[in-house]
Amino acid sequence: MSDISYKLLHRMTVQDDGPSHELLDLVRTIFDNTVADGRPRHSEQARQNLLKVLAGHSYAKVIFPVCHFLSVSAQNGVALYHWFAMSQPVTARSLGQGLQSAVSTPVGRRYQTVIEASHHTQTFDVNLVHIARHSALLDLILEVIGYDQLEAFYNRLATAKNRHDVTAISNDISREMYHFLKDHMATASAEKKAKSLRDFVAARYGQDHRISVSDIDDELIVDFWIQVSLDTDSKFRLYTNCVQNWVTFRHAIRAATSNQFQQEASLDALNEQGQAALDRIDQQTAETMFDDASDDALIGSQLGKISPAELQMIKLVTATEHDQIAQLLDFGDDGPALIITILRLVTFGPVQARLIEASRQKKTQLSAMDGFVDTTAYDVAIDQIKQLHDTIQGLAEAAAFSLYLARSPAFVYAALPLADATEQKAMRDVGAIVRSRLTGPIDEQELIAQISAALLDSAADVMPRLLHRLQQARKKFRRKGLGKLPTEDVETWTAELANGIEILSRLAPPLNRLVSNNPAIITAQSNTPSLQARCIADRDLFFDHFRQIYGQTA
Amino acid sequence: MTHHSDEPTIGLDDAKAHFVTLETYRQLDTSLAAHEPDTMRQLTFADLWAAATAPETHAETIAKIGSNAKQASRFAALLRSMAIYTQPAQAAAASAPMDKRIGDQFDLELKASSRHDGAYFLIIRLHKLAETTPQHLYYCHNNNYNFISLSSVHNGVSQVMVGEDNPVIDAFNDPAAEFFIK
Repeated sequence: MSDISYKLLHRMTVQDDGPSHELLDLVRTIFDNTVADGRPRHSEQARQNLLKVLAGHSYAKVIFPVCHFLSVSAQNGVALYHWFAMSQPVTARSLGQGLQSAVSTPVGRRYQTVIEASHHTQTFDVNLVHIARHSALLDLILEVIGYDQLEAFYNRLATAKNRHDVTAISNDISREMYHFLKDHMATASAEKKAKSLRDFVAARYGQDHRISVSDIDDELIVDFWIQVSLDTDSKFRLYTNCVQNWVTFRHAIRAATSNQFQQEASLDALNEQGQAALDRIDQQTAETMFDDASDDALIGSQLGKISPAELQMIKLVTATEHDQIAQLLDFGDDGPALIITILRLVTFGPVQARLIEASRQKKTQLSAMDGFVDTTAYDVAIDQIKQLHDTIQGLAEAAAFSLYLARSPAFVYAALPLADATEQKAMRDVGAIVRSRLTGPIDEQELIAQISAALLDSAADVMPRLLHRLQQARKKFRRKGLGKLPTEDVETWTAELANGIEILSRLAPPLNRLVSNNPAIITAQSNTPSLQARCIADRDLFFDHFRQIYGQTA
Repeated sequence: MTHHSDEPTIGLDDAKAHFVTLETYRQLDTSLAAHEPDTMRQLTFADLWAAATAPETHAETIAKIGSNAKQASRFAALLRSMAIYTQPAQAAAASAPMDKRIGDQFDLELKASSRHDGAYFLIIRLHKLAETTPQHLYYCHNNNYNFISLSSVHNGVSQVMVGEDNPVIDAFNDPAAEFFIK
């Protein structure tokens, strides 16, 4: 019997290196930092940027402009601790206010977010928006090198005479960060996996092959798994892991083919690049590497906010639905093209998990394996994805109807995207009528309240079809907190519903793209072999391979 | 499968490098989301700041700082940076107990109570008044940090009564000790 357990495999593939506990503790502490009134010290973007900068080892090019900011600060006599003990969250405005209130001879200032400064004859701008976006990195630098050392750098920046001086200090700080991170953020495991994937592609297409996203297709993924999973030391023994890594590889190709990202910017490569160029590169890096390339994956990160564990007053998706959606969203934009891989994953992934569990318990289920997968499994899986999509949409509608019953102004925001074009126009017309009746200037919030009230009063006339649909959805999806106005904490209930609707509305399109008008499915369903025949062929392939992996120890 | 002719392509090594970045990001994100209930929290700048600004309510933190050389050095730098007045270590070692410590920004004087009841008066003479009201006298002695809350300042002088066992007396008599007022 094989000694492989699911937990062991999981530890082999996920936890053998990566960020150290010390680094994770520091980052968690930085993320949890609040200012006096309890607001987070760092924006969500600053927190995400810290992770992106760490993952891309691109901190050097961020430290460079940060040093320019610190140089302006130091030369105007602002104490270093001021930036780490601010009473306001770190924003461009609060940074600007911090500088302006402290300086004896005000630096030039434009648009409140760009500070003009000079080193003797050289003038330069410091974009405070850029600095605020990287405030969490500044905190990490402080924690890593310490107040004493950072102050020593700060004092050097106070006397920096030109860009060359600032560059030298920036490089010194970057080196300190490098020394810390090389011990606390090992990437050996990721590099080993990357090499396996790269070498497989090279063997398949040639060493000099220039790769595109479509090269990583369903057949390549399964061929790779067949080849490597018999090796007991392989990181890809689990089909689920194998798929996940190839999807990441596709994301990587997509990112690399569409950007000007400079991988691991040299510590000394920054000396003559201007602030504008740095901002541009930084923006492109962030967008290309992490945002544009995996938009659906980002939506996936929102999914956790509507998990049963997160919501207090209502229940939207069940734990099972949550996990199923999360697995599908992991594919991001690559889902439709890899639909056969998805079908294989949702069909054979659970079989492998059961085999591993049985193996761990020193039992074997190989003989019973045939009964696990029916010949119609792929059609069933497609129907399940469709059903998941319908559930998501129905839950959004049921939640919107709850807001309507509660006469919540949030209903208007929730209803607008759910209505068809005709009813959307009718809703906008109501807004226009309210505006036309105004006799004088009015507060924006008051105007919104008036429009909301008018829409709620006239909803049955303005959006009868939508209301009917929402009502039907509410009857169909009777989940905790939907429909009935709570007797207490209405604010939390409303917020959970409103946020939930927004997230559900964003989840529906990527699920729909998987099964609706997906050329890969149309081809699979219309071509020979049929989807059912493909399922049978895959079952033979996977089961034969499972026997090879787990059978020899049976 | 071969790619379509209009599809953008890259070299395998570029794709590999980008994979490492994305995979590292995923590892970070996943690890941060994982619950870590048993990890011992490290001291951070926020702790040093709290100890420096409100020492009365952070005695435990100050003790932790004192037991960690790296954090003690960071704390000293922060205190120096925040201090309104500082008095560094005295230049020359004295053989007998001192009754005065002279500094550029303030002097310290230690006088036994005339009632011989074991009490001492620590007198702080500021050379120049600042806009900010001094609140605490910090001192670092044998790499340990401690503080005394100051009474109000009159004509540049503040006076605090301490018992004969108060560690500030040993610090006062040690030329290597550093004092900060903030």
